[in-house]
Amino acid sequence: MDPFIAEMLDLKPARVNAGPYQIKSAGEVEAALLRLFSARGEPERRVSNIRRMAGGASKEQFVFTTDRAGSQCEMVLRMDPRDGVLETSRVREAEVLKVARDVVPVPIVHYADYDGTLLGMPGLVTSFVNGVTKPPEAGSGVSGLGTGFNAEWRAKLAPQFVTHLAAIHRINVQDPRLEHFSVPDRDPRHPALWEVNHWSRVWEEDQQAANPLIAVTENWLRANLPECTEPVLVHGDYRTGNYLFDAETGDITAILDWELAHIGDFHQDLALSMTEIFSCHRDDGVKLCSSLMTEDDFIAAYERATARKVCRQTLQFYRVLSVWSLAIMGGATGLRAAKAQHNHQDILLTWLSMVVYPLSQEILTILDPEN
Amino acid sequence: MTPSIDIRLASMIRSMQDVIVPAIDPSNSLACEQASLMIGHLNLLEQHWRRIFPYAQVCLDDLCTCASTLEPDGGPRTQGAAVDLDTAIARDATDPEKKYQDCARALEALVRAAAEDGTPAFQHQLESEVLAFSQRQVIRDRAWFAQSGFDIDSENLPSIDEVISGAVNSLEQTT
Repeated sequence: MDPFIAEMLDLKPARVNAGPYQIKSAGEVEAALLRLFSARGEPERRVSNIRRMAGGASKEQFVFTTDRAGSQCEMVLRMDPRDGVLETSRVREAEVLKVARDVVPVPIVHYADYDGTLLGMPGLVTSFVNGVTKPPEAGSGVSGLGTGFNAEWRAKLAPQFVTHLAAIHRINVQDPRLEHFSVPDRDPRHPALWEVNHWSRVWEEDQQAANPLIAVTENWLRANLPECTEPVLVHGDYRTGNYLFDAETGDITAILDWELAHIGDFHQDLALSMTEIFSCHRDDGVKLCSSLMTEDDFIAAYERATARKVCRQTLQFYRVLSVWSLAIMGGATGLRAAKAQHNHQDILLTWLSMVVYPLSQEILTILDPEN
Repeated sequence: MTPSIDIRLASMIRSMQDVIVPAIDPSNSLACEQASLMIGHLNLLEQHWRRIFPYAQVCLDDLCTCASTLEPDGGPRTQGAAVDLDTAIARDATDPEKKYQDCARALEALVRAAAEDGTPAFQHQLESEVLAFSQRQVIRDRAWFAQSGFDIDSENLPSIDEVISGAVNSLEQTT
């Protein structure tokens, strides 16, 4: 397993027996931000108009106005709750945002409190980026699921979606700024194995109800580990709902939600976009990956943009891995957090856990297509 | 017993929809989203509460049938896990939901044990039976939670009452 993720998971049990998480008031958030600014040598920076941001199933997010020496702007505070649907690191998120900024639009990290001594919980303060995750006329479910685009929007967004993914996959994984990332290059099967080991451990520690299908799927994954000789920076949650775009021009203004970024196989980002829950169907019934384009179009465009060859068998492995890990996040970790009242959105985490059943259906459709 | 659970749930849903939600500041997006989810959960509870025991019993019966077809063969881990599964199935239980969970946990443990020291033939049989059971169970669970809105094919799912009557064991039987 990725050594940093293993260390992070080692620290998790210390929080399990903590009491319910208290939702932060605007006043508490303001006091926390002022502590952070003061510690960073900006005691004169002011905070106002703090608003909670909707969406997201893993972090507490606030947008606020800040001014210093007459210069005013909006920023975003992205902070860990005690527990959520995911166990991730603000250190790694900050590192990857700094590196990714060279090649794709992302929020700028202005301040960080990695251990939570100033904010109360680990968090990042970033620039506020204008944009929307769905067209004004579209509907979608919680956490950006089920967002639909018409043909005009798809024509604007799909090419950018591929171009940005190709740019992310060209990032040098040996960049010294990626200090807390490890490259799984000792064995060509390690990129896949590290991921299986990661989510297997999460299931073992967080499961709330047994599910024999999770174990059968894990056996299948371990028996079908693909080789990867050219690890790339994998975004880890690259899909519609996790980027912002200009509601008028359609230009993508920011790629968001980098917390699952790691170094691994490029097929993983393609596969996640192809999962049913992050897709929608055209009027003729054809599935659109990430609600944007057909699988064949997505693969062809990615191959053109990267000069890489997509291996359908490897893609199949990562589709199973993606759906299996999503089932573990929703059905195990999220539910454990809600049960312990460790989140500001327990009711959302409980609702999201119901996604396990469509995900299980997708696993079965791949592993057992004849039935 | 009066007021009934149905009346209490319906009253809560109406209160949320007609009084509480309209009173929430629309700029408080977290409160708006959580109020909607509260209505969603209450609607699901209204649909589920009378049916939870018969639903769990259908699931449990199918899991026990699946387990009864297994012919465990392998080393001590497989044999031990098989005994644990037999014990879980044989246990008397007044709560079918809890017994289902206990048996599912034992079956999952058997899958993991067989991967370590089960014979190839038993591994193959176990995988086939668990996949077949999971195909039936996932249809039931998708029907149970169809109102969640996550299922892109919810219109082709059986109703919960059809699931409980045992009339439907596969998606094909509903279409």
